[in-house]
Amino acid sequence: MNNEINELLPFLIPLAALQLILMITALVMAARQETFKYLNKPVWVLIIILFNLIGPILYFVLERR
Amino acid sequence: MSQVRALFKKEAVESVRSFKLFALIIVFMIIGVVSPLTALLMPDILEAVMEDSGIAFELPPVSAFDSYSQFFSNANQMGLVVLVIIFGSILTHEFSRNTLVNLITKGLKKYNIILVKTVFAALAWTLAFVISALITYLYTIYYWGDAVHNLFAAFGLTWLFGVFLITLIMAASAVFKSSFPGVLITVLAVVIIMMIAGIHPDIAEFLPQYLIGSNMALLHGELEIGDMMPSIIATVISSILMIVLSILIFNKTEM
Repeated sequence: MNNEINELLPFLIPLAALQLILMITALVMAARQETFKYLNKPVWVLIIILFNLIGPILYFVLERR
Repeated sequence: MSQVRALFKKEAVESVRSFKLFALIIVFMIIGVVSPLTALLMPDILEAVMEDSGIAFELPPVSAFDSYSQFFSNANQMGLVVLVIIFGSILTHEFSRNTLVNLITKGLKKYNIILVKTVFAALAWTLAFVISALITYLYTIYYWGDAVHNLFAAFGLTWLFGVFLITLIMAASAVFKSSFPGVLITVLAVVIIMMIAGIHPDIAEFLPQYLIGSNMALLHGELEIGDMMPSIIATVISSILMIVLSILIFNKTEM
């Protein structure tokens, strides 16, 4: 099993990095934003953390116009 | 020409500051990485499922085709959905914030707005898709050495369909003005109608939908690029029609 994980690392590292970049950017933007069009800050933070990929995208599309 | 350049700069700055371009590129990079990974993991997943249900048969070894097949199913579904969601509001949000009124009263040509926005969205889509395709391609040639046919054409088909969707967004935006849901529903409706029409085999070959259904057949060499011509020509013509239509409608729109 350990060997298999090592084999997959060239995929997993970039994948995790990309998802983290997206999530952290959205989190930083959400933390700085004071007024929200829909919902509020805690809810957006939860959405961004819980829904991988879709959460940050929804935030960028709905809140950053 | 200066109008075009200024507008183009505005679009670029706007999409960078709103992080839309960034989000689009990251999503497509993720698609590019995930596809070969899924292909690599598929035998393990299937094995686990088969052990549970007590079915046993020999799985064929994973090949480059599996990797590309995963890429096309991801890019054609999730990728295009993300494209439509991100660029769906490119024109509608200008209506809803009335940001174009000042520019148009100062003499900005309306057709320039449509053209620049279409070209900008198409360029952003091209950039994201090329990055994604390149990532999958590099992983695939590193892990599997199979020879594939018409690789470039197969990627090009999905790209062309994306451009068609962008022109569709433009036409729908011109009709619905400030309603972003209206645009999404229109795009969805057109895609569903094309799917239903595609059940008839004679019509299917002429639909843009045929483009994203034929990637794998092209790779396997079952279809050649010549077989795709009716669909490609139909898509290009309908894209141009969409742009002309959106300019005509937009010209009559009062701001």
